[in-house]
Amino acid sequence: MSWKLSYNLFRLRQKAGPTKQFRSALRYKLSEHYDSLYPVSKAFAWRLMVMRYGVMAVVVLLVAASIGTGAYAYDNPGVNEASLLYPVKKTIEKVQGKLVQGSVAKANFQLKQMQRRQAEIDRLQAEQKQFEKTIEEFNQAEEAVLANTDNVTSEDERGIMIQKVTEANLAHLQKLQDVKDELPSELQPRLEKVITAQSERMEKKLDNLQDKQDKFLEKQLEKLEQAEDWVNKQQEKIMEIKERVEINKEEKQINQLPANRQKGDQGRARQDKNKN
Amino acid sequence: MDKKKFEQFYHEHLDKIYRFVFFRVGAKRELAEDLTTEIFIKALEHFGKYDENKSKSAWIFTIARNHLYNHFRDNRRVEISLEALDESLYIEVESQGQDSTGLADFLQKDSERELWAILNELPEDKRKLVTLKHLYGYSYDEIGEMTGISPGAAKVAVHRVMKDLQSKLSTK
Repeated sequence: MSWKLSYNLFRLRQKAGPTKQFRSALRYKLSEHYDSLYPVSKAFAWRLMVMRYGVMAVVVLLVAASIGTGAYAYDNPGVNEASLLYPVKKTIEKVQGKLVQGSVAKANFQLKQMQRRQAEIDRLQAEQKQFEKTIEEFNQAEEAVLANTDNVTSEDERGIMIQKVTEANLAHLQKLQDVKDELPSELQPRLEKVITAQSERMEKKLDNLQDKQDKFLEKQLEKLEQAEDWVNKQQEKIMEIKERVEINKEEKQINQLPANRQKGDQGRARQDKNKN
Repeated sequence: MDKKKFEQFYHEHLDKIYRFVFFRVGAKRELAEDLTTEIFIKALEHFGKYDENKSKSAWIFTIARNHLYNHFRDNRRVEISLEALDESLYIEVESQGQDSTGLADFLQKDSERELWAILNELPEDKRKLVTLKHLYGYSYDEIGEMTGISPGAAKVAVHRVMKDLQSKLSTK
């Protein structure tokens, strides 16, 4: 099977799929439509009451937890644009900004904001380096698998290994795509570049693999043809030997006969041999 | 009707139905989204009639097909029969305004255009199999259910078509 063909069809399938935004929007719309079609009846209202008190208790707990969460979000440079807690962080900063009075205090507050943004940038850059390093390690591991696969002599096992590598690459691209869809729109172009680079790398790999596979198969075919030739030659030799054995047998039988019969039989044996 | 069950149904079938619609509306994303929304709202309203044991995918596939047919008929954008809707891999839809053809935007690489051309050259029954499996993402069980053959036969048939595609690509 051609992995490049599977990969190209996979790409078309991906491109023709719904976006994550559409997926969530439709899910929400269908949920609302469901609620409008099947509103909760009065018979279950008492359950709602019980649930409401339960929900209130949960909300109180959540508020208590959010205070801790807010502190975590505010202080942590790891909470950046891509983080779920980033809106919490920005809200706290906004509130703080409004509470600060006086030009000097405001200037100091803004300076602190600059330092906080720089810390986020530093953290993002470190994460970016880690991300790029992890991608590089993934690529190195793939190279190692393919290098070992070259040494596999069984065509079937080799084909299975290459198929597994291709599937791992496709899953990797899918995962990168999913991560990209989760990112804010300003950060998506960066990951898109990585996805494009990985896709191009994979296409080249598939081209090389297809060439190598073709050469490998040609070699195997050559060996097979040589083996067939050898077998045919051996069979011819065996036939020759058999014929000689048959002739020798007949001559032996003739030699054991009385002398006058020998001449006649030898003559007939020679005639038969000449006919054949 | 169980909301969670419908949600699960939605997650299982959204991608495939969306792609089915996408190719039949000239690869125009906005139109595909609108029609897919309408299809799933219809499915939700009639979900009580859905029997998973009788048909996993055929039910919503039929809704999608009929909805598309009604859309083309009502909007008079394209004259098309129900059979043509099934048989075509792609249907060009006239657009108002400055839109270029959706397909030109969709197929950006030479390899994609080449593959697309060869897919269109395949006989309808072969094209349907490879489209269901590799473009829409249906499983062999679902393909078997939709085409009336066993999953095993579907697998063999798809494999043969892929070999056929590969040999056509190699000769180009």
